[in-house]
Amino acid sequence: MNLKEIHYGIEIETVKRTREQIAWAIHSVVGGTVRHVGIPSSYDPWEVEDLRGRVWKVVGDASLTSVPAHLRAEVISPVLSYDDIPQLQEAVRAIRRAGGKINSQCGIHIHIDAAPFDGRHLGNLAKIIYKQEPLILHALGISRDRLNRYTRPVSDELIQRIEQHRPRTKDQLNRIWYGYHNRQPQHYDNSRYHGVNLHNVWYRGTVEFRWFEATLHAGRIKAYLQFCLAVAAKALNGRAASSRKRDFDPQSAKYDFRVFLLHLGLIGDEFKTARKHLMANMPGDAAFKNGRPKPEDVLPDETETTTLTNEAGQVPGLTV
Amino acid sequence: MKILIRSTTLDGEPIPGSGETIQAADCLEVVELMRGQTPFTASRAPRDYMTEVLSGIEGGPTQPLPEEAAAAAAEFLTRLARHGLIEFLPDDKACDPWPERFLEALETVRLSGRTNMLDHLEVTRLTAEMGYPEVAEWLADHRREYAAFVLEGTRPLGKNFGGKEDPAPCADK
Repeated sequence: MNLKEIHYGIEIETVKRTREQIAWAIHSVVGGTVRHVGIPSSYDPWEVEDLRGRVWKVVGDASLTSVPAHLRAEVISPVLSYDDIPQLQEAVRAIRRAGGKINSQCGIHIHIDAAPFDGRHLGNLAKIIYKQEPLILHALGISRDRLNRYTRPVSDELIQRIEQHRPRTKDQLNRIWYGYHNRQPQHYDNSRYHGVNLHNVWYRGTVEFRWFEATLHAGRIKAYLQFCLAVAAKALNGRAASSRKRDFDPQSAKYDFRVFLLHLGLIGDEFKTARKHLMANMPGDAAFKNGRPKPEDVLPDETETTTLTNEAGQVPGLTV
Repeated sequence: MKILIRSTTLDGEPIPGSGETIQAADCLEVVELMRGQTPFTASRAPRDYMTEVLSGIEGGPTQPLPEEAAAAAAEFLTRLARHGLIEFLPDDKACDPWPERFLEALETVRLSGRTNMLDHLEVTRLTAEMGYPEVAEWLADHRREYAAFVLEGTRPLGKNFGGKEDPAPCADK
C-alpha cells in the first residue's frame, strides 16, 4: 500500500486565541459554515463544515493550563487524504495569521487510519518504531517531560510479547497490549500515553502518534505527516520487521536517520522538505557514516602532490 | 458566501490579505461571478473555465471535477483555497435581524430570575422552554451578538477575524 493511499487525521493544540477565532481562521481556508455547538460545555466545541461536507472541530483542551480557559483550543481535522496536505497547511498558516500561538504544553497528535492494519502489521509498526526509536526521539526533539509523561517509548515488554506470540489479528494484539482482552476500551486509558498509541486502534480505529512538540510551521507539520504515513506504509507492506534496537551514535546519527528515511520511501524532491525538517536536529553528517573525511585523510602524503600548469605556463589552481 | 480572491506576485504566489471580495448565495454563483470578471473568461462554459484555471495553477492535466455542477464549483473553490489563491470570508451573518419577540423573550427570562443572563446556553434553553423557539434558535447561532447585546445593548455589526479588524457596517445601517 502506498503511503498516499492511507487516510489520516491531525489534532493541533493552540493558545492565545479563542476557539471561535480559530474556527473562523480555518473557515477562511476551507469555506462552508461555522457553528458554535457549545455542548458539552467543558469542550465548548465549534465546528466548521467545509464545502465538501467534512467537519473540522475546534474544542477546549483542559491540559493547556498556562492560559485562561477561553484561550485554549484544539483543532481536530476531519479524515483527510494525502492530497489534502496543502489545504491543511493553508489552514495552519491561517491560524498563525489569526494570532494563534503555541507553548510548551501544546502538542500535535497524528492519527493514521487503522482499518488496513491487522495484528501482524501493527506488530511490524511497533517493531519498526522500537528499533529506530533512539533516532526518532532525537530527530523530533521531544522534551524530557513529554517523553516521561505523555509520549512514553515503546516498551521492551510489548516487543517481547509481540515476538513471543506473533499476533495475526487485532484481537490477539489487544490481549498483548492490555494484558487481557479489553472489549470496551475507554478514552482515558493509561496505556494511551505512548509515542505510538495502539490503544486508539480499539478505541477509535486509528493508530495515534503522540510524539510531536507543537508547531504552527506548515512545513514541519507536513514533514510529520509524511513521516507517520511512511512508517505506516512500511509496516503495512513488510512481511516482517526486525526489532533489534539501534544504538544512538552521535557521529553517525544523521547518516543513519537519512538512510532510515530513504528506506521508508521518503525519496526525491517531493519529500525533500520532510528530510530537511526531520534531520535538522541530528548530529553528524548526512552523507558520511563516520563523519566527513578531513582533507588530510584524502591527501596523506604531500610529497606526491604535483602542480599542473596549463599551456600558457600558468598555474590553474588545481592540485592533485 | 463570501470570498477574497487574493492578488498574486509576478511568480503567482498569493499575497495574504490582498485582493478583491466576491459575495454570492452559493459556490455556483461565486464561480459565475469569477467567470464573468473578464470578457475572455465570460465566454467560456463554466466547466471549461474551471478546468482551465486549475490546469494553469496545478500544471498539466488536472484531476477531473465532479459531474454535478454544485459539487464541481465547491471542489473548484476548495482547490483554489488549497493553493492559497482565495480566502473564505465570514458571511455577514451578524447583520441578521433578531427575531420579532427577541426583547420580550429576554425580558421574560430575566424577570423569571432563573438564570444569570450572561449564561448564554441557559438563556437559550429557557427561551425555548418559555415559548420562544424562534428566539432560542437565533440565540444558538448568534452567541457573540447576544454577549454584545447583554454587555452593551447593541449588536456587533460583522464577524471579525482574529479580533483585529473593525467590523464593517451593514449596508442597511
